[in-house]
Amino acid sequence: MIPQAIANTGPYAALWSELKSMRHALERAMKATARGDLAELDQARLRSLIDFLRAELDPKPTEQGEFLSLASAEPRYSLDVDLRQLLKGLPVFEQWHRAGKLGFKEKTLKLITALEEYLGKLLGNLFPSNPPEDEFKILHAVLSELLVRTETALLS
Amino acid sequence: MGSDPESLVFSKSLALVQKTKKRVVQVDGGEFPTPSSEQARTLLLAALTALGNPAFWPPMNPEALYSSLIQIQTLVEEIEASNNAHIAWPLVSCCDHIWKQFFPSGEAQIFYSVMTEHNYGIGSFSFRLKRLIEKVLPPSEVEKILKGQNLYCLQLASLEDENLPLYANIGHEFGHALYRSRKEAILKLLASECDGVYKLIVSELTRLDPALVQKRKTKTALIIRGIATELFCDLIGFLISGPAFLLSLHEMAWGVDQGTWRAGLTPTAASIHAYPSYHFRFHCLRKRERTASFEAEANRVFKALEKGDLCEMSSYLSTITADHSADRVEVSAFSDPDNDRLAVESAITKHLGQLKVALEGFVARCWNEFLTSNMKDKEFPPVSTEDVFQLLRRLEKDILPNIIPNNTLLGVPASFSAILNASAIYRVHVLSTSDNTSGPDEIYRDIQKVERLTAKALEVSYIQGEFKRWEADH
Repeated sequence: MIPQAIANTGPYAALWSELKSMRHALERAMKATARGDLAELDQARLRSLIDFLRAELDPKPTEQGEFLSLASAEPRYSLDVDLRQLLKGLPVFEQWHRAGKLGFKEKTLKLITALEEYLGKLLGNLFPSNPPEDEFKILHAVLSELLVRTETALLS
Repeated sequence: MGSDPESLVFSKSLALVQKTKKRVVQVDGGEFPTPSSEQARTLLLAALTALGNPAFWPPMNPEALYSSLIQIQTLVEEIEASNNAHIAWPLVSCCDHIWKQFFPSGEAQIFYSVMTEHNYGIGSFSFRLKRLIEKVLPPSEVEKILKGQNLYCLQLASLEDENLPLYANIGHEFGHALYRSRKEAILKLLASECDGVYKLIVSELTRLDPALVQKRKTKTALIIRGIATELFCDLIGFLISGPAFLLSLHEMAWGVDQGTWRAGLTPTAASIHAYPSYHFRFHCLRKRERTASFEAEANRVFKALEKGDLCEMSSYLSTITADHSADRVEVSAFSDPDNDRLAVESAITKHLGQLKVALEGFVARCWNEFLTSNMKDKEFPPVSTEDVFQLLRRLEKDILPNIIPNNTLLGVPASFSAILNASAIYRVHVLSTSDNTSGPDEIYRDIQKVERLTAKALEVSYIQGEFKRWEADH
């Protein structure tokens, strides 16, 4: 049998299409030159990417107890990948990290806030004049790496 | 002409949208067992129409679209299998009645389909559809399609299967829908009982490997939640069907190790499934006062049955093993690069005793606090042992178990629960007293007899009940 990713219905299929749709929206944002180039779906997918990154890189302590907070969580995808370790191993992130003075944690948070600010301007009916090119490239690399790993799990 | 995979996949997806749409339209609505199947079809058609709308195409990722469409085929199959030919309409009509007792304002709806396995299962059709289309359609369109609907699909064993012994499990499946709709309140009860033992397990996980504790504690919390959900659903099954649910659960446990707590780790963290041991499940249900009072009453009343071994069925429930002292924990994983399953398994095993105490407390609070006395006493009163006895008397003479005598010529139609309990008890009696030397023909005949009598009784009793309601209204 030749395994086919797009027709797979196994346990990784939903994660795979989730990552695909987020990366697609990010690619469209990287190419966009006017506000009209990005649709409502693109913005929603970028919002999902923010939620995904926040959950993996910056989980917030909640007011309710830890058990209740974890048990109440909505279904979330995970590939059992430590995103911090994955980032450290990405040359494009490493290069960007070395170029600045910020620590690792601050740099990872900057990836998220850059995307949040970009989305915030779009929602405010403005087109961001300076899209965060470096951050977008790193996020693209992260999603591509996650996709490769998901495909391996999906097809094996 | 180009060979760009994205545009090729997109064309392939559009063809699949159209093919799927045609398939859904072709389903014969006249064969739907209840009107809510049409609601499922309408939802799916609205989603497929939106996917075929060129206005939404530019931002869609073709691969995500195709993948979603492939997964949508499962939903189509559920609608296709929602067919009167394979589903007993009196059964689903009774189910609809019970469903409305839980969701009186229509906050959740249900339609019925058939499962390929010889079992029962429930899933939120609308939620699954939402998860599939939200990757490829804008949120405003998803909202327009779903219109806040909360539609469930109960998959039943096919009518052709001998599925009677499992009817009582439908109540357990309804429990899953009730859990989802009242999740916040139920989880608060769980947290107040399980916080302490959860902390003990987390300490153990930290001792095993502090670097991996974050994800492992998430998995542990979800395993505890999964186990508690099953126990909650057992309570609902027991609330609806009483001892018949215990007998159903007993039959589900045949052939497997009944002292193992099982959990399976999955890529979607919150989809982690976990099950308490059958021994512990029986233990929790046996502790409910309704079980003890049914047994005590049955010991007294069943004596008047003609068949001596049928009288002995009054104490059958107490013979089901509920000793969970030697239970063990088994965690499996689909993909587990860090060996989380072994760590979680070992930490839970270490504190299994405390976990059981906490879960018993949770079950007791669900029964005493979450299930209101109105629901227990008025909506789902305990099954009458006397009624079950009257139906058993009929069954032992091969008479339809549908009427409870009340000193009138007609009697009163038996309740769904009474029929279910009488037939479950009679069926176990047939299985336990069969003379295997007489060959399969005789056992088959005896089992068929009770199955057919029960199916017919459910049908007749349902129609009688409906007629009586109509008569009262007019």
